[in-house]
Amino acid sequence: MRKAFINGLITENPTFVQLLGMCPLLAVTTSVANAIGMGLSATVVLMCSNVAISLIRRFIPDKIRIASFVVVIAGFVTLVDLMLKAYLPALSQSLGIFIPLIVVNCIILARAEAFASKNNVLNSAFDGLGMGLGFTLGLLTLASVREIIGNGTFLGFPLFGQSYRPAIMAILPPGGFILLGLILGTVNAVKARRKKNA
Amino acid sequence: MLRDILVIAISAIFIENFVLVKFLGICPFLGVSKKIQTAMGMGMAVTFVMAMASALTWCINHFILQPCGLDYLQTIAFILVIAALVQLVEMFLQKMLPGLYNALGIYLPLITTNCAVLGVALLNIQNEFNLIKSIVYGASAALGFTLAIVLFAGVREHLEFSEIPEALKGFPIALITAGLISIAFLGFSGLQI
Amino acid sequence: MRDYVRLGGILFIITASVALVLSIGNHATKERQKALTDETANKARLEVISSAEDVLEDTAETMEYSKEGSSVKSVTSYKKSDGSHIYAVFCTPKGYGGEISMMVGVDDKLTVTDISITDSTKETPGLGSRVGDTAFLSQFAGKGKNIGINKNQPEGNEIQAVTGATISSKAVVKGTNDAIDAVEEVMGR
Repeated sequence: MRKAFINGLITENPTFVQLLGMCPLLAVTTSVANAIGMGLSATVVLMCSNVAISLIRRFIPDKIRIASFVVVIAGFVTLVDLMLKAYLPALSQSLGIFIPLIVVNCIILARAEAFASKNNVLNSAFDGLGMGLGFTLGLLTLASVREIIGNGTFLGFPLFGQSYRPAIMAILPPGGFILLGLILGTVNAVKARRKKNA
Repeated sequence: MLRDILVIAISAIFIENFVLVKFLGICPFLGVSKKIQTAMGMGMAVTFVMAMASALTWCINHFILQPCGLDYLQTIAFILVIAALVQLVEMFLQKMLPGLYNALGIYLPLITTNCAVLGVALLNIQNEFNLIKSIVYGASAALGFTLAIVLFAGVREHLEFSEIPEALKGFPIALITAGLISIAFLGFSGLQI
Repeated sequence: MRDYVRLGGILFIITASVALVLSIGNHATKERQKALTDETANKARLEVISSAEDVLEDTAETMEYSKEGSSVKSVTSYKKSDGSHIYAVFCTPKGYGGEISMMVGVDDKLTVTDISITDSTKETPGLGSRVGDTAFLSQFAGKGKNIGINKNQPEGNEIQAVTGATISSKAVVKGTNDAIDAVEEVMGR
Protein backbone atom coordinates (compact mmCIF):
# COMPACT_ATOMS: atom_id res chain seq x y z
CA MET A 1 0.00 0.00 0.00
CA ARG A 2 2.60 2.46 1.08
CA LYS A 3 4.75 1.28 -1.78
CA ALA A 4 1.96 1.85 -4.29
CA PHE A 5 1.55 5.38 -2.96
CA ILE A 6 5.24 6.38 -2.94
CA ASN A 7 5.67 4.74 -6.31
CA GLY A 8 3.23 7.15 -7.93
CA LEU A 9 4.38 10.21 -6.06
CA ILE A 10 8.14 9.87 -6.62
CA THR A 11 9.66 6.77 -8.22
CA GLU A 12 7.31 6.65 -11.17
CA ASN A 13 6.08 10.21 -11.03
CA PRO A 14 3.77 10.57 -14.04
CA THR A 15 5.10 14.01 -14.95
CA PHE A 16 8.81 13.83 -14.33
CA VAL A 17 9.50 10.15 -14.98
CA GLN A 18 6.75 8.78 -17.23
CA LEU A 19 6.18 12.07 -19.10
CA LEU A 20 2.43 11.51 -19.29
CA GLY A 21 -0.41 14.04 -19.32
CA MET A 22 1.55 16.81 -21.00
CA CYS A 23 -1.45 18.69 -22.42
CA PRO A 24 -3.10 19.70 -19.15
CA LEU A 25 0.34 20.11 -17.62
CA LEU A 26 1.18 22.86 -20.09
CA ALA A 27 -2.28 24.31 -20.50
CA VAL A 28 -3.49 24.95 -16.96
CA THR A 29 -0.23 25.89 -15.28
CA THR A 30 -0.59 29.60 -15.93
CA SER A 31 -1.55 29.99 -12.29
CA VAL A 32 -0.97 27.94 -9.15
CA ALA A 33 -4.66 27.97 -8.22
CA ASN A 34 -5.61 26.40 -11.57
CA ALA A 35 -2.86 23.80 -11.20
CA ILE A 36 -4.13 22.72 -7.78
CA GLY A 37 -7.71 22.55 -9.04
CA MET A 38 -6.69 20.48 -12.04
CA GLY A 39 -4.43 18.21 -10.00
CA LEU A 40 -7.05 17.46 -7.37
CA SER A 41 -9.79 16.88 -9.97
CA ALA A 42 -7.55 14.41 -11.79
CA THR A 43 -6.66 12.74 -8.48
CA VAL A 44 -10.32 12.24 -7.61
CA VAL A 45 -11.04 10.78 -11.04
CA LEU A 46 -7.96 8.58 -10.89
CA MET A 47 -8.82 7.18 -7.46
CA CYS A 48 -12.48 6.58 -8.27
CA SER A 49 -11.78 4.98 -11.62
CA ASN A 50 -9.04 2.78 -10.15
CA VAL A 51 -11.38 1.58 -7.41
CA ALA A 52 -14.30 1.00 -9.78
CA ILE A 53 -12.18 -0.82 -12.33
CA SER A 54 -10.56 -2.96 -9.69
CA LEU A 55 -14.03 -3.87 -8.41
CA ILE A 56 -15.41 -4.93 -11.78
CA ARG A 57 -12.18 -6.29 -13.26
CA ARG A 58 -13.33 -9.91 -13.09
CA PHE A 59 -16.50 -9.28 -15.07
CA ILE A 60 -14.92 -7.46 -17.99
CA PRO A 61 -13.92 -9.63 -20.95
CA ASP A 62 -10.44 -8.92 -22.23
CA LYS A 63 -11.54 -7.79 -25.68
CA ILE A 64 -13.65 -4.87 -24.55
CA ARG A 65 -11.60 -3.86 -21.52
CA ILE A 66 -10.23 -0.62 -22.96
CA ALA A 67 -13.68 0.49 -24.10
CA SER A 68 -15.12 -0.33 -20.68
CA PHE A 69 -12.32 1.55 -18.90
CA VAL A 70 -12.90 4.60 -21.06
CA VAL A 71 -16.62 4.58 -20.30
CA VAL A 72 -16.03 4.29 -16.56
CA ILE A 73 -13.42 7.05 -16.62
CA ALA A 74 -15.65 9.32 -18.73
CA GLY A 75 -18.43 8.75 -16.20
CA PHE A 76 -16.32 9.92 -13.27
CA VAL A 77 -14.96 12.85 -15.24
CA THR A 78 -18.47 14.03 -16.05
CA LEU A 79 -19.44 13.72 -12.38
CA VAL A 80 -16.45 15.83 -11.33
CA ASP A 81 -17.31 18.31 -14.08
CA LEU A 82 -20.91 18.62 -12.84
CA MET A 83 -19.76 19.05 -9.23
CA LEU A 84 -17.25 21.75 -10.15
CA LYS A 85 -19.85 23.62 -12.20
CA ALA A 86 -22.27 23.57 -9.28
CA TYR A 87 -19.94 24.28 -6.39
CA LEU A 88 -16.77 25.89 -7.77
CA PRO A 89 -17.97 27.74 -10.89
CA ALA A 90 -14.96 30.05 -11.05
CA LEU A 91 -12.51 27.15 -11.17
CA SER A 92 -14.70 25.30 -13.63
CA GLN A 93 -14.67 28.31 -15.93
CA SER A 94 -10.95 28.82 -15.83
CA LEU A 95 -10.12 25.15 -16.45
CA GLY A 96 -12.65 25.10 -19.31
CA ILE A 97 -12.50 22.11 -21.63
CA PHE A 98 -9.50 20.69 -19.80
CA ILE A 99 -11.86 19.17 -17.23
CA PRO A 100 -13.73 16.98 -19.76
CA LEU A 101 -10.37 16.32 -21.39
CA ILE A 102 -9.23 14.46 -18.25
CA VAL A 103 -10.93 11.53 -20.01
CA VAL A 104 -8.10 11.32 -22.53
CA ASN A 105 -5.36 11.97 -20.00
CA CYS A 106 -3.03 9.05 -20.64
CA ILE A 107 -2.16 8.72 -16.93
CA ILE A 108 -5.65 7.57 -16.02
CA LEU A 109 -6.07 5.00 -18.76
CA ALA A 110 -2.51 3.81 -18.19
CA ARG A 111 -3.15 3.18 -14.49
CA ALA A 112 -6.41 1.41 -15.23
CA GLU A 113 -4.70 -0.87 -17.70
CA ALA A 114 -1.40 -1.40 -15.90
CA PHE A 115 -2.50 -1.45 -12.26
CA ALA A 116 -6.18 -1.41 -11.37
CA SER A 117 -7.11 -4.24 -13.71
CA LYS A 118 -4.60 -6.52 -11.99
CA ASN A 119 -4.70 -5.50 -8.32
CA ASN A 120 -7.13 -5.45 -5.40
CA VAL A 121 -9.27 -2.49 -4.47
CA LEU A 122 -7.22 -1.08 -1.62
CA ASN A 123 -3.95 -1.14 -3.51
CA SER A 124 -5.61 0.38 -6.56
CA ALA A 125 -7.02 3.21 -4.47
CA PHE A 126 -3.59 4.03 -3.08
CA ASP A 127 -2.01 3.73 -6.50
CA GLY A 128 -4.59 6.21 -7.79
CA LEU A 129 -3.95 8.58 -4.91
CA GLY A 130 -0.18 8.38 -5.35
CA MET A 131 -0.26 8.86 -9.11
CA GLY A 132 -2.81 11.68 -8.78
CA LEU A 133 -0.74 13.53 -6.22
CA GLY A 134 2.37 12.88 -8.29
CA PHE A 135 0.63 14.57 -11.22
CA THR A 136 -0.45 17.41 -8.92
CA LEU A 137 3.16 17.80 -7.80
CA GLY A 138 4.22 18.12 -11.42
CA LEU A 139 1.52 20.70 -12.14
CA LEU A 140 2.37 22.61 -8.99
CA THR A 141 6.08 22.79 -9.80
CA LEU A 142 5.57 24.16 -13.30
CA ALA A 143 2.75 26.48 -12.22
CA SER A 144 4.80 27.96 -9.36
CA VAL A 145 7.71 28.72 -11.66
CA ARG A 146 5.44 30.21 -14.33
CA GLU A 147 3.32 32.29 -11.98
CA ILE A 148 6.27 33.62 -9.97
CA ILE A 149 8.34 34.58 -13.02
CA GLY A 150 5.51 35.57 -15.32
CA ASN A 151 3.22 37.40 -12.93
CA GLY A 152 5.33 38.04 -9.84
CA THR A 153 2.73 36.38 -7.63
CA PHE A 154 2.16 33.08 -5.85
CA LEU A 155 -1.45 31.95 -5.51
CA GLY A 156 -2.35 35.53 -6.36
CA PHE A 157 -0.24 37.16 -3.63
CA PRO A 158 2.31 39.65 -4.95
CA LEU A 159 5.85 38.62 -4.04
CA PHE A 160 8.17 41.33 -5.25
CA GLY A 161 6.37 44.63 -4.76
CA GLN A 162 5.38 47.27 -7.27
CA SER A 163 8.68 47.77 -9.06
CA TYR A 164 8.87 44.17 -10.35
CA ARG A 165 8.14 43.91 -14.06
CA PRO A 166 6.98 40.34 -14.65
CA ALA A 167 8.42 38.38 -17.58
CA ILE A 168 5.09 37.80 -19.29
CA MET A 169 6.65 35.27 -21.65
CA ALA A 170 6.66 32.68 -18.85
CA ILE A 171 2.87 32.69 -18.78
CA LEU A 172 2.42 32.67 -22.55
CA PRO A 173 2.48 29.28 -24.34
CA PRO A 174 6.19 29.35 -25.36
CA GLY A 175 7.16 29.95 -21.74
CA GLY A 176 5.31 26.80 -20.76
CA PHE A 177 7.23 24.66 -23.22
CA ILE A 178 10.64 26.16 -22.44
CA LEU A 179 10.29 26.15 -18.66
CA LEU A 180 9.01 22.57 -18.64
CA GLY A 181 12.01 21.59 -20.78
CA LEU A 182 14.36 23.28 -18.32
CA ILE A 183 12.66 21.66 -15.30
CA LEU A 184 12.90 18.20 -16.87
CA GLY A 185 16.52 18.93 -17.75
CA THR A 186 17.20 19.82 -14.10
CA VAL A 187 15.54 16.58 -12.96
CA ASN A 188 17.77 14.65 -15.38
CA ALA A 189 20.89 16.45 -14.18
CA VAL A 190 20.07 15.70 -10.53
CA LYS A 191 19.43 12.05 -11.37
CA ALA A 192 22.70 11.77 -13.29
CA ARG A 193 24.67 13.27 -10.41
CA ARG A 194 23.04 10.89 -7.92
CA LYS A 195 23.93 7.94 -10.09
CA LYS A 196 27.54 9.07 -10.30
CA ASN A 197 27.82 9.47 -6.53
CA ALA A 198 26.17 6.16 -5.78
CA MET B 1 -20.50 32.89 -44.61
CA LEU B 2 -17.44 32.39 -46.80
CA ARG B 3 -15.64 35.07 -44.84
CA ASP B 4 -16.55 33.40 -41.54
CA ILE B 5 -15.16 30.12 -42.79
CA LEU B 6 -11.93 31.73 -43.90
CA VAL B 7 -11.57 33.45 -40.55
CA ILE B 8 -12.17 30.17 -38.69
CA ALA B 9 -9.63 28.34 -40.84
CA ILE B 10 -6.88 30.94 -40.57
CA SER B 11 -7.32 31.40 -36.88
CA ALA B 12 -7.37 27.64 -36.21
CA ILE B 13 -4.24 27.02 -38.25
CA PHE B 14 -2.08 29.98 -37.30
CA ILE B 15 -3.40 32.22 -34.56
CA GLU B 16 -4.79 29.64 -32.19
CA ASN B 17 -2.70 26.72 -33.28
CA PHE B 18 -3.95 23.66 -31.40
CA VAL B 19 -0.54 22.40 -30.38
CA LEU B 20 1.50 25.52 -29.92
CA VAL B 21 -1.07 27.87 -28.43
CA LYS B 22 -3.94 25.78 -27.10
CA PHE B 23 -1.81 22.86 -25.88
CA LEU B 24 -3.99 20.16 -27.37
CA GLY B 25 -2.41 17.03 -28.83
CA ILE B 26 0.97 17.40 -27.19
CA CYS B 27 1.54 13.65 -26.73
CA PRO B 28 1.65 12.71 -30.44
CA PHE B 29 3.35 16.04 -31.14
CA LEU B 30 6.29 15.01 -28.98
CA GLY B 31 6.02 11.28 -29.65
CA VAL B 32 5.72 11.02 -33.43
CA SER B 33 7.94 13.87 -34.52
CA LYS B 34 11.33 12.23 -34.94
CA LYS B 35 10.98 11.92 -38.75
CA ILE B 36 9.25 14.29 -41.15
CA GLN B 37 7.64 11.43 -43.02
CA THR B 38 5.93 9.79 -40.05
CA ALA B 39 4.97 13.22 -38.77
CA MET B 40 3.28 13.91 -42.09
CA GLY B 41 1.46 10.57 -41.95
CA MET B 42 0.30 11.17 -38.42
CA GLY B 43 -0.88 14.64 -39.39
CA MET B 44 -2.91 13.28 -42.29
CA ALA B 45 -4.50 10.56 -40.16
CA VAL B 46 -5.39 13.10 -37.47
CA THR B 47 -6.80 15.51 -40.06
CA PHE B 48 -9.08 12.83 -41.44
CA VAL B 49 -10.23 11.67 -38.01
CA MET B 50 -10.76 15.21 -36.73
CA ALA B 51 -12.84 16.33 -39.70
CA MET B 52 -14.98 13.17 -39.47
CA ALA B 53 -15.24 13.40 -35.70
CA SER B 54 -16.35 17.05 -35.91
CA ALA B 55 -19.15 16.14 -38.29
CA LEU B 56 -20.27 13.06 -36.35
CA THR B 57 -20.17 14.58 -32.88
CA TRP B 58 -21.99 17.67 -34.11
CA CYS B 59 -24.79 15.51 -35.52
CA ILE B 60 -25.01 13.43 -32.36
CA ASN B 61 -25.12 16.49 -30.18
CA HIS B 62 -27.60 18.32 -32.37
CA PHE B 63 -29.98 15.49 -33.20
CA ILE B 64 -29.80 13.23 -30.16
CA LEU B 65 -28.30 14.78 -27.05
CA GLN B 66 -29.77 18.28 -27.19
CA PRO B 67 -33.35 17.37 -28.12
CA CYS B 68 -33.38 14.83 -25.27
CA GLY B 69 -31.78 17.20 -22.77
CA LEU B 70 -28.85 14.82 -22.35
CA ASP B 71 -26.12 17.44 -22.64
CA TYR B 72 -24.33 15.99 -19.65
CA LEU B 73 -23.60 12.79 -21.61
CA GLN B 74 -21.53 14.74 -24.18
CA THR B 75 -18.10 13.68 -23.00
CA ILE B 76 -18.98 10.02 -22.78
CA ALA B 77 -20.83 9.93 -26.11
CA PHE B 78 -18.08 11.79 -27.93
CA ILE B 79 -15.26 9.61 -26.66
CA LEU B 80 -17.12 6.47 -27.72
CA VAL B 81 -17.79 7.86 -31.18
CA ILE B 82 -14.18 8.87 -31.58
CA ALA B 83 -12.93 5.46 -30.45
CA ALA B 84 -15.21 3.70 -32.92
CA LEU B 85 -14.19 6.08 -35.71
CA VAL B 86 -10.49 5.49 -35.11
CA GLN B 87 -11.09 1.74 -35.16
CA LEU B 88 -12.83 2.14 -38.50
CA VAL B 89 -10.03 4.22 -39.99
CA GLU B 90 -7.54 1.65 -38.77
CA MET B 91 -9.37 -1.22 -40.45
CA PHE B 92 -9.75 0.81 -43.64
CA LEU B 93 -6.07 1.69 -43.82
CA GLN B 94 -5.01 -1.88 -43.06
CA LYS B 95 -7.01 -3.14 -46.02
CA MET B 96 -6.59 -0.33 -48.53
CA LEU B 97 -3.30 1.40 -47.72
CA PRO B 98 -1.09 -1.11 -45.91
CA GLY B 99 1.98 1.04 -46.54
CA LEU B 100 0.61 3.97 -44.60
CA TYR B 101 -0.81 1.59 -42.01
CA ASN B 102 2.61 0.12 -41.31
CA ALA B 103 4.21 3.56 -41.17
CA LEU B 104 1.72 4.87 -38.61
CA GLY B 105 1.90 1.59 -36.70
CA ILE B 106 1.14 1.93 -33.06
CA TYR B 107 0.21 5.58 -33.32
CA LEU B 108 -3.14 5.01 -34.96
CA PRO B 109 -4.94 3.69 -31.88
CA LEU B 110 -3.32 6.53 -29.99
CA ILE B 111 -5.44 9.04 -31.90
CA THR B 112 -8.33 8.00 -29.65
CA THR B 113 -6.53 9.43 -26.65
CA ASN B 114 -5.28 12.44 -28.62
CA CYS B 115 -6.95 15.21 -26.72
CA ALA B 116 -7.06 17.38 -29.85
CA VAL B 117 -9.82 15.18 -31.26
CA LEU B 118 -12.08 15.23 -28.20
CA GLY B 119 -11.05 18.84 -27.71
CA VAL B 120 -12.24 19.93 -31.14
CA ALA B 121 -15.57 18.14 -30.62
CA LEU B 122 -16.13 19.99 -27.35
CA LEU B 123 -14.94 23.34 -28.74
CA ASN B 124 -17.35 23.05 -31.67
CA ILE B 125 -20.21 22.85 -29.20
CA GLN B 126 -18.81 25.57 -26.97
CA ASN B 127 -18.37 27.98 -29.90
CA GLU B 128 -21.88 27.19 -31.13
CA PHE B 129 -20.67 26.37 -34.63
CA ASN B 130 -23.06 24.94 -37.22
CA LEU B 131 -22.27 21.74 -39.09
CA ILE B 132 -20.20 23.30 -41.86
CA LYS B 133 -18.26 25.53 -39.51
CA SER B 134 -17.61 22.55 -37.24
CA ILE B 135 -16.13 20.52 -40.06
CA VAL B 136 -14.03 23.47 -41.26
CA TYR B 137 -12.83 24.10 -37.71
CA GLY B 138 -12.01 20.41 -37.18
CA ALA B 139 -10.14 20.09 -40.46
CA SER B 140 -8.21 23.33 -40.13
CA ALA B 141 -7.32 22.73 -36.49
CA ALA B 142 -5.92 19.39 -37.60
CA LEU B 143 -4.03 21.07 -40.47
CA GLY B 144 -2.58 23.40 -37.85
CA PHE B 145 -1.55 20.32 -35.90
CA THR B 146 0.05 18.85 -39.04
CA LEU B 147 1.88 22.08 -39.78
CA ALA B 148 3.26 22.24 -36.25
CA ILE B 149 4.30 18.60 -36.10
CA VAL B 150 5.99 18.67 -39.52
CA LEU B 151 7.89 21.88 -38.73
CA PHE B 152 8.89 20.38 -35.41
CA ALA B 153 10.04 17.10 -37.01
CA GLY B 154 12.15 19.13 -39.43
CA VAL B 155 13.94 20.83 -36.56
CA ARG B 156 14.33 17.58 -34.65
CA GLU B 157 15.95 15.81 -37.61
CA HIS B 158 18.68 18.43 -37.46
CA LEU B 159 18.94 18.20 -33.70
CA GLU B 160 20.10 14.60 -33.98
CA PHE B 161 23.47 15.74 -35.22
CA SER B 162 24.01 18.58 -32.79
CA GLU B 163 25.81 18.51 -29.51
CA ILE B 164 23.34 18.88 -26.69
CA PRO B 165 24.13 19.03 -22.96
CA GLU B 166 23.70 15.55 -21.49
CA ALA B 167 20.87 16.52 -19.15
CA LEU B 168 18.82 18.14 -21.90
CA LYS B 169 18.99 15.23 -24.33
CA GLY B 170 15.72 13.80 -25.55
CA PHE B 171 12.57 15.26 -24.10
CA PRO B 172 13.83 18.50 -22.53
CA ILE B 173 15.48 19.82 -25.67
CA ALA B 174 12.41 18.81 -27.68
CA LEU B 175 10.24 20.91 -25.37
CA ILE B 176 12.57 23.88 -25.59
CA THR B 177 12.55 23.62 -29.38
CA ALA B 178 8.77 23.47 -29.35
CA GLY B 179 8.82 26.62 -27.21
CA LEU B 180 10.91 28.43 -29.80
CA ILE B 181 8.53 27.41 -32.60
CA SER B 182 5.69 28.56 -30.39
CA ILE B 183 7.32 31.99 -30.09
CA ALA B 184 7.28 32.19 -33.87
CA PHE B 185 3.57 31.38 -33.88
CA LEU B 186 2.98 34.02 -31.23
CA GLY B 187 3.70 36.50 -34.00
CA PHE B 188 0.44 35.53 -35.68
CA SER B 189 -1.56 36.67 -32.68
CA GLY B 190 -1.10 40.22 -33.92
CA LEU B 191 -3.08 39.38 -37.07
CA GLN B 192 -6.28 41.35 -37.30
CA ILE B 193 -9.05 39.42 -38.97
CA MET C 1 -21.47 -14.28 -33.44
CA ARG C 2 -22.71 -15.24 -30.01
CA ASP C 3 -19.54 -13.84 -28.55
CA TYR C 4 -20.17 -10.47 -30.17
CA VAL C 5 -23.64 -10.28 -28.69
CA ARG C 6 -22.25 -11.13 -25.25
CA LEU C 7 -19.47 -8.53 -25.51
CA GLY C 8 -21.88 -5.92 -26.82
CA GLY C 9 -24.27 -6.76 -24.00
CA ILE C 10 -21.64 -6.32 -21.29
CA LEU C 11 -20.45 -3.04 -22.77
CA PHE C 12 -24.03 -1.89 -22.99
CA ILE C 13 -24.68 -2.73 -19.34
CA ILE C 14 -21.59 -0.79 -18.26
CA THR C 15 -22.50 2.22 -20.38
CA ALA C 16 -26.10 2.15 -19.22
CA SER C 17 -25.16 2.03 -15.54
CA VAL C 18 -22.68 4.88 -15.99
CA ALA C 19 -25.37 6.90 -17.78
CA LEU C 20 -27.80 6.19 -14.94
CA VAL C 21 -25.33 7.40 -12.32
CA LEU C 22 -24.70 10.51 -14.40
CA SER C 23 -28.36 11.34 -14.78
CA ILE C 24 -28.68 11.20 -10.99
CA GLY C 25 -25.62 13.39 -10.65
CA ASN C 26 -26.98 15.82 -13.21
CA HIS C 27 -30.32 15.98 -11.48
CA ALA C 28 -28.68 16.64 -8.12
CA THR C 29 -26.53 19.52 -9.36
CA LYS C 30 -28.82 21.12 -11.96
CA GLU C 31 -30.87 23.28 -9.62
CA ARG C 32 -27.80 24.53 -7.86
CA GLN C 33 -26.07 25.32 -11.17
CA LYS C 34 -28.99 27.34 -12.42
CA ALA C 35 -29.46 29.15 -9.12
CA LEU C 36 -25.77 29.97 -9.11
CA THR C 37 -25.81 31.40 -12.65
CA ASP C 38 -28.92 33.47 -11.93
CA GLU C 39 -27.49 34.75 -8.68
CA THR C 40 -24.17 35.77 -10.25
CA ALA C 41 -25.90 37.48 -13.15
CA ASN C 42 -28.29 39.31 -10.85
CA LYS C 43 -25.49 40.47 -8.59
CA ALA C 44 -23.47 41.74 -11.55
CA ARG C 45 -26.53 43.58 -12.90
CA LEU C 46 -27.21 45.38 -9.65
CA GLU C 47 -23.54 46.18 -9.29
CA VAL C 48 -23.22 48.03 -12.59
CA ILE C 49 -26.24 50.23 -11.94
CA SER C 50 -25.48 50.79 -8.26
CA SER C 51 -24.24 54.33 -8.91
CA ALA C 52 -27.74 55.42 -9.93
CA GLU C 53 -30.14 56.39 -7.19
CA ASP C 54 -33.72 55.26 -6.56
CA VAL C 55 -33.55 52.14 -8.72
CA LEU C 56 -36.57 49.92 -8.09
CA GLU C 57 -34.79 46.59 -8.01
CA ASP C 58 -37.87 44.41 -8.35
CA THR C 59 -38.94 46.01 -11.63
CA ALA C 60 -36.26 44.04 -13.47
CA GLU C 61 -37.36 42.90 -16.90
CA THR C 62 -34.92 40.82 -18.92
CA MET C 63 -35.20 40.41 -22.66
CA GLU C 64 -33.05 38.19 -24.85
CA TYR C 65 -31.18 40.08 -27.55
CA SER C 66 -29.42 38.82 -30.62
CA LYS C 67 -28.25 40.71 -33.65
CA GLU C 68 -25.68 39.98 -36.32
CA GLY C 69 -22.35 41.52 -35.35
CA SER C 70 -23.43 42.50 -31.86
CA SER C 71 -22.03 40.73 -28.82
CA VAL C 72 -25.06 41.58 -26.66
CA LYS C 73 -26.95 38.59 -25.25
CA SER C 74 -29.59 40.18 -23.04
CA VAL C 75 -30.83 43.56 -21.85
CA THR C 76 -32.41 44.00 -18.43
CA SER C 77 -34.31 47.19 -17.75
CA TYR C 78 -35.02 48.66 -14.32
CA LYS C 79 -37.48 51.45 -13.50
CA LYS C 80 -36.38 54.29 -11.29
CA SER C 81 -38.71 56.00 -8.87
CA ASP C 82 -38.87 59.10 -11.12
CA GLY C 83 -40.23 56.94 -13.96
CA SER C 84 -37.07 56.85 -16.08
CA HIS C 85 -35.23 53.66 -16.96
CA ILE C 86 -31.77 52.25 -16.44
CA TYR C 87 -30.35 49.19 -18.19
CA ALA C 88 -27.97 46.38 -17.37
CA VAL C 89 -26.67 44.74 -20.54
CA PHE C 90 -25.01 41.34 -20.67
CA CYS C 91 -22.59 40.81 -23.54
CA THR C 92 -19.86 38.41 -24.57
CA PRO C 93 -17.35 40.03 -26.94
CA LYS C 94 -14.56 37.87 -28.34
CA GLY C 95 -11.23 38.49 -26.65
CA TYR C 96 -7.82 36.92 -27.09
CA GLY C 97 -8.52 33.39 -25.90
CA GLY C 98 -12.28 33.20 -26.25
CA GLU C 99 -15.34 35.07 -25.13
CA ILE C 100 -15.22 37.58 -22.31
CA SER C 101 -18.47 37.81 -20.33
CA MET C 102 -19.32 41.26 -19.07
CA MET C 103 -22.14 43.38 -17.73
CA VAL C 104 -22.59 47.01 -18.75
CA GLY C 105 -24.79 49.51 -16.96
CA VAL C 106 -26.30 52.14 -19.30
CA ASP C 107 -28.68 54.94 -18.32
CA ASP C 108 -31.39 56.47 -20.50
CA LYS C 109 -29.01 59.20 -21.71
CA LEU C 110 -26.90 56.40 -23.24
CA THR C 111 -24.09 56.98 -20.79
CA VAL C 112 -22.20 54.11 -19.19
CA THR C 113 -22.77 53.96 -15.43
CA ASP C 114 -20.32 51.16 -14.69
CA ILE C 115 -19.08 47.90 -16.16
CA SER C 116 -18.06 44.65 -14.63
CA ILE C 117 -16.29 41.61 -16.09
CA THR C 118 -17.98 38.40 -15.01
CA ASP C 119 -15.64 36.02 -16.82
CA SER C 120 -12.26 36.80 -18.33
CA THR C 121 -10.76 33.39 -17.54
CA LYS C 122 -10.13 32.59 -21.19
CA GLU C 123 -7.75 35.53 -21.46
CA THR C 124 -4.08 35.17 -20.58
CA PRO C 125 -3.83 35.32 -16.79
CA GLY C 126 -1.95 38.37 -15.58
CA LEU C 127 -2.20 39.99 -19.00
CA GLY C 128 -5.51 39.91 -20.83
CA SER C 129 -7.30 39.08 -17.60
CA ARG C 130 -6.20 42.49 -16.29
CA VAL C 131 -9.10 44.06 -18.16
CA GLY C 132 -11.00 43.04 -15.01
CA ASP C 133 -8.96 45.48 -12.88
CA THR C 134 -10.76 48.50 -11.46
CA ALA C 135 -8.10 50.83 -12.84
CA PHE C 136 -9.10 49.87 -16.38
CA LEU C 137 -12.85 49.48 -15.84
CA SER C 138 -13.33 52.73 -13.92
CA GLN C 139 -12.43 54.65 -17.10
CA PHE C 140 -15.72 53.64 -18.67
CA ALA C 141 -18.12 55.35 -16.27
CA GLY C 142 -19.59 58.47 -17.86
CA LYS C 143 -18.51 57.63 -21.40
CA GLY C 144 -21.06 57.84 -24.22
CA LYS C 145 -21.60 56.29 -27.64
CA ASN C 146 -18.72 55.05 -29.82
CA ILE C 147 -15.99 54.81 -27.25
CA GLY C 148 -12.52 54.82 -28.79
CA ILE C 149 -9.33 53.21 -27.62
CA ASN C 150 -5.87 54.67 -27.24
CA LYS C 151 -2.61 53.10 -26.19
CA ASN C 152 -1.02 56.22 -24.78
CA GLN C 153 -2.90 59.47 -24.16
CA PRO C 154 -6.65 58.91 -24.17
CA GLU C 155 -8.75 62.04 -24.60
CA GLY C 156 -12.45 62.75 -24.81
CA ASN C 157 -14.47 59.61 -25.36
CA GLU C 158 -11.38 57.37 -25.32
CA ILE C 159 -10.13 54.62 -23.05
CA GLN C 160 -6.54 53.75 -22.33
CA ALA C 161 -5.83 50.10 -23.23
CA VAL C 162 -4.23 47.74 -20.74
CA THR C 163 -0.52 47.60 -21.62
CA GLY C 164 0.28 44.47 -23.61
CA ALA C 165 -3.34 43.39 -23.80
CA THR C 166 -4.72 45.41 -26.68
CA ILE C 167 -6.92 42.62 -28.01
CA SER C 168 -8.65 42.02 -24.69
CA SER C 169 -9.04 45.77 -24.12
CA LYS C 170 -10.56 46.22 -27.56
CA ALA C 171 -12.98 43.40 -26.81
CA VAL C 172 -14.23 45.14 -23.68
CA VAL C 173 -14.63 48.40 -25.61
CA LYS C 174 -16.56 46.60 -28.34
CA GLY C 175 -18.80 44.98 -25.73
CA THR C 176 -19.53 48.36 -24.17
CA ASN C 177 -20.27 50.02 -27.52
CA ASP C 178 -22.54 47.12 -28.48
CA ALA C 179 -24.33 47.50 -25.16
CA ILE C 180 -24.98 51.20 -25.72
CA ASP C 181 -26.30 50.53 -29.23
CA ALA C 182 -28.55 47.77 -27.92
CA VAL C 183 -30.00 50.06 -25.26
CA GLU C 184 -30.59 52.77 -27.85
CA GLU C 185 -32.48 50.24 -29.95
CA VAL C 186 -34.48 48.91 -27.02
CA MET C 187 -35.42 52.44 -25.92
CA GLY C 188 -36.58 53.32 -29.42
CA ARG C 189 -39.05 50.45 -29.47
